[in-house]
Amino acid sequence: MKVMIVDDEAPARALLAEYLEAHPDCQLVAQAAQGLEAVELAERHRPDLMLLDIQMPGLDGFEVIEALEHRPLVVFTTAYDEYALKAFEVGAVDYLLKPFSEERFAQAMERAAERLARGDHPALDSIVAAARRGRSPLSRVLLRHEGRLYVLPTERIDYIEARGDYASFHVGKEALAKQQSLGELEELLDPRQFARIHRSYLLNLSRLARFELYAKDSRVAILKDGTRLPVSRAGYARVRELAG
Amino acid sequence: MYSPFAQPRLTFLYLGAWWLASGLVLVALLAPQGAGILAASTLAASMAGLSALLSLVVYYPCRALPPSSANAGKLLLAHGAGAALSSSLWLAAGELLSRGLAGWRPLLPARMLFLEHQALLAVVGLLFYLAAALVHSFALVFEETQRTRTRELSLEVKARDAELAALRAQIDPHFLFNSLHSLAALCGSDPKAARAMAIRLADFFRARLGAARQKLVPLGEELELASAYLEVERVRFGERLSWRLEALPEARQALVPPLLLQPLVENAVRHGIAPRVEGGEILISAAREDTQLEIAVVNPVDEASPRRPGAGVGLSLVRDRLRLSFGRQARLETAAENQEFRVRLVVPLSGENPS
Repeated sequence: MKVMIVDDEAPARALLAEYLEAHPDCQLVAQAAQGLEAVELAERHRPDLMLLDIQMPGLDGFEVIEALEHRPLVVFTTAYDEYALKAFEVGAVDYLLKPFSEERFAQAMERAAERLARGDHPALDSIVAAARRGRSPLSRVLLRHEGRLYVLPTERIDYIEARGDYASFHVGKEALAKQQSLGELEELLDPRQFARIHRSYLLNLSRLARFELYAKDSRVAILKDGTRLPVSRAGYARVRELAG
Repeated sequence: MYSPFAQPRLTFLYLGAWWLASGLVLVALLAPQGAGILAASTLAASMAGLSALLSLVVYYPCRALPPSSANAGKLLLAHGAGAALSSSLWLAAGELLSRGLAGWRPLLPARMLFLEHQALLAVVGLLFYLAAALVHSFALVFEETQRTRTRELSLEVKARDAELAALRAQIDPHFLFNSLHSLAALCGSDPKAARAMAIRLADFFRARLGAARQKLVPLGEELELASAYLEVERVRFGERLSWRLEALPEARQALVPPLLLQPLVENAVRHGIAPRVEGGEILISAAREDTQLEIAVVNPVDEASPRRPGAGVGLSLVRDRLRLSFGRQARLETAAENQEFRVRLVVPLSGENPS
């Protein structure tokens, strides 16, 4: 079994490596000290099991799971007991509360080996959805563009456009795509920051300059950079309500 | 409890005020009766003096029957009887007094005035009694409400104090568990470092628990506590955490409420250093200026990272403590700019300062 350690604290990484020595069937393939590095190394080494801390600089443990394309089994290691429920929602094999004993660690490894032998991976979509929930309102969005991982703070997004199964995030002149529905994004984003102005558009309200009437009863939103977006009647009503 | 006899000064003030007020009423009533201004005013002044003495005595029935506790019928009966008795006593004393006055010829009309207007005076006596009863009752009720309010206020302050003390004694459990985890890790790889870590942790806890029991501590002790805390965190964070303390000895001697600084330092680590991949340096500085002590904690922040839970709790705790200890004389300001978060505390130097 290929194992990867992700923890921002060096002593914690050393302890896991030491505990692992008692498991000759396990091979330590990589160690990461922060989220983005973890995603990068996991893509390269394809571990079967990830021993994952939750509170880390860069991406936190749940975000690492969300960002991974190749998904390993996960055992969370953390000093916080308040994430346990969410950890099992995202299909974690086990949840180790720091500090934990070698015996407790061996137990978790046994569970992981069983799961691996059974080929028992929980449905991917439900994991990702669960990882995204509970962190709302989102303060940043993870997405891949041309093979690279981007962490996009929501305040940098101008607007989001629906394109089939994808959501297209417009940032200045660039557009980054992610497989996610606009409806789901609308639920996850802060409703005071983003408004659904149209079936196909979620607008960052701080970018709005004004509305313009272009035909009887139908409007366009003019953004501060001059971009024009269609506005539905319901969308207009929603923004008016927010503006009070 | 309120009493007109609480201080001699108060008693004289009361007597004087009553004499003046009732004297004016009596002059107004007696002067138009055609007995001459000298006779009217002399009689009024002496009767007013008697009335002042009697009104003081009215305090006792009022205290025995506070309006808040007795029913209306009982009150009316008691004070009706009191008024009749007081008025008769007043007239009896007036009888003696006016006879005395009549011994001097020019004041003979005063005696006549008294004899002719006894009925009027009897009514005035009743009214004076009622006025005095009102004054005393009002004073008693007012004082009672004040006392209840003070008691409520002091209970409130006590509850707030207890709450703050509980918060002060509270140690971040995640800090404890993470530190113990590091300690467990070091036991295998570096037993000497593990021992050093255990001792540092013990130092921190001892200082922290000790500080929670004090009323005021020298800032130097606060800075040592911060160092002990940062030393422990340094084992976990490694190179990512560094810090600088800048305080001259004169600032270190200044007295401050204990654990004033600690929540700010813990915040700087939790919300400043921990979420940053590259870590950073925390600057803690303190300087004395005239009658004030200025403390600043500055840490780098990663604006892109989401706020961790618990942000703001430490700051509001420090704000509460400042308000309780110094009222409006202390200030807490925060500023976030250029990827830096800065907390500035200004507190007055305590009068108990050694220097």
